[in-house]
Amino acid sequence: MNWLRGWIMRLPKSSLRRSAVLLFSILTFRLGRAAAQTTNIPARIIRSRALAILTLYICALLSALPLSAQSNAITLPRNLGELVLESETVVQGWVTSVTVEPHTQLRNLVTVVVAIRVEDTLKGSATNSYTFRQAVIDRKDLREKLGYRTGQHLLMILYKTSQFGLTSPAGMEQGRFRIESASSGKLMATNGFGNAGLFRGLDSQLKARSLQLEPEIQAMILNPGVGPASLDQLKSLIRTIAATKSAK
Amino acid sequence: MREQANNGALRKKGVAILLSLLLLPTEMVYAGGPLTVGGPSEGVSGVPLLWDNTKPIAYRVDGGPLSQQPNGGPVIIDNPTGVARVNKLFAYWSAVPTANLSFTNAGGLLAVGSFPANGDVKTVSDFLAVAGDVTGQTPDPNSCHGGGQSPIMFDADGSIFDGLGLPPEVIGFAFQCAFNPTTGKIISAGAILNGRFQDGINNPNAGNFELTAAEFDQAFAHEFGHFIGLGHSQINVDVLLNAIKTGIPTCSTDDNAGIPLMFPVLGLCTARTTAGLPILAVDDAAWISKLYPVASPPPGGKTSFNLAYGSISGTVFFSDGVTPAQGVNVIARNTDSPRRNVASAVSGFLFTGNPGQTVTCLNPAAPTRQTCSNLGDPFGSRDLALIGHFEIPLPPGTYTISIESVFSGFAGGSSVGPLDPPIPAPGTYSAAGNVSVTAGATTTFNITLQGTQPRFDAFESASLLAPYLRAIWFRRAQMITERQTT
Repeated sequence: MNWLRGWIMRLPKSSLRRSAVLLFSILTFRLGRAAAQTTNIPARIIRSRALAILTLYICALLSALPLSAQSNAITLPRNLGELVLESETVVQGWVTSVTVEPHTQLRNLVTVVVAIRVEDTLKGSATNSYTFRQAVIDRKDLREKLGYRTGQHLLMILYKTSQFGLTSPAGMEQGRFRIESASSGKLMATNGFGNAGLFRGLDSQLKARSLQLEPEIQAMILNPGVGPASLDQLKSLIRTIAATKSAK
Repeated sequence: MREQANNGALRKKGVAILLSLLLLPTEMVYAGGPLTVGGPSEGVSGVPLLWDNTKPIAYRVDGGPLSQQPNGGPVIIDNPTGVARVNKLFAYWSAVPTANLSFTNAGGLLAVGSFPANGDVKTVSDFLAVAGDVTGQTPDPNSCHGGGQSPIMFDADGSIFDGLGLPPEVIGFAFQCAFNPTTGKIISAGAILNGRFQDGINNPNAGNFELTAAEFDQAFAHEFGHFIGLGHSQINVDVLLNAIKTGIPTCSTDDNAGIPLMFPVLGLCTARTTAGLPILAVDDAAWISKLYPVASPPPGGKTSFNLAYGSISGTVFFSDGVTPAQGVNVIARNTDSPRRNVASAVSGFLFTGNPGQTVTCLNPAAPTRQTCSNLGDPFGSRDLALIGHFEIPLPPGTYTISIESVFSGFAGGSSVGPLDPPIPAPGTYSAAGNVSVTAGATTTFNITLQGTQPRFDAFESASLLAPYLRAIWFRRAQMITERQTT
């Protein structure tokens, strides 16, 4: 078992490593009965221990998934329209690398550089790949690389880049959406505030701009709640807002 | 023109609603109570990271104005006024009679690199010099990360926030810089305040928002709570949930009074001082007193913690009555004033939110950060007895106990309790009766949730308890003993 564990640890990609660990755990569980025969230990005990270890693995792996920690900033809340209007770039994609790098111009500044393989550009001119650099102020943020991890599926609403080449999600936690599949297979998006307040006041703002929305998107706005929103509907809404004159 | 006017009116209305809801994300916390708890190698395991309160906590303040209009415009809040406001915000905490906490303004900022002594932090480079090297590898000894000073900095016109690539709605932030890894005592911390929110200009189109002085001060009183080691608390969360549902926050005076200053979302109700309420709620005062208790006999002007407070302590369990449950918000409400006199704690607040694992390390017997993929959060205890454990400091009285989920949106910077993101409470709980709290005493009160899912196989739940959570897989001798007794 030790060589297998060592092999798993040498796997290059953390997601691949996690998968291998899970497979290893499941294999261990399945082999419980055989192990019971060879070690003369009751299969019930072997299986229960394997189950406990598997559970711990899963807990540990889940807890290793990205935290949504952003910079420890106090921010005003903004709705989706305002986030999009103040943004420079809105992209959907997969994080392909996350590196911690010192800033080339600013002494003492450490940055997290995030590269995204772009699936869809909703605002701005990002093409196949997009890379941005975000400042790190706090040690905890440094440890956690601001919560970014390779393999994350994200929808990012990014504020304009500063003269030092730095940017952040618009509204900080509010402009970073984690994309996950619902049990139905439908892709859902949730920002760092559980989408709380994301559509607040948006209906009247859109009506003031005479923007027409699909009925289902209108329903999503008018029934604000907390929790995942349909990625397709969210993107459609973002495209509509981004297409307005003032957003360009 | 008419459309523009409508837009302007709507925008003003929108801003008014926005300003009524200030979100306050900070770093991951182990609240209600301490911001950070020591772990296996960082600080003292299971003990909150706090300042050494045997002497006053010294902070230093920026030499420039607190607020100035853009492009070199007029100064709106000058330095003496800004310094006085900072002093006042710290004094809110030291004024708690049962908290053994004092502060001293040690003067202007220390010289760091090219930044001069008593200087004005005007640029990104100034800010970074004073804050210091966040990696801790080459910290200037006078910087915050070098442990040399605890700076309170003013970004008078918001240009530092702009340069750092932060969006215009960031009001400011506090950050802990250095602590003693052996004693767990905080050595230095810092904060930077965005003066653009106080410059008298409210022009959201140009990314310039305005807060009232009371709102701004309340935001930084909250941040200074983090500065001294307090985490977030969740009480009267129904006010937030209703606001999300209706779009309009409404709260009574009692709701407002009960919502802690350390609630992750500030501004749901009128600013506390504007409403005539003390800036600290019962929960804030109780927790700062528990973390920094005044001993007996108390010094002049102070009150002994044990004469003014008792506590309720226990463990939250799943329905099996043996498996402890993490991340459940436990609230104690005074029967005479349940919305106002109320305090809380999250179960397992001293235990880590991420225990990690050593099984997949290259050498599990000698785990290191270099040879293990996930050793978990360096903070938070690994003592299994602390899983599900809670303690709530309370003034003497009669209380009802209730439990609830931590609000699902309180994740990342706004997290409450050890789990980030939070989980729904795994069961329900109906109060069995009232609980009396007397000064200087701890009332033990365990909570067994109703209707939780089974935790283990019904035939062997007991055998999966704590002693086996370590590397049982390899504890062959014990397993053989079990086999013989089966």
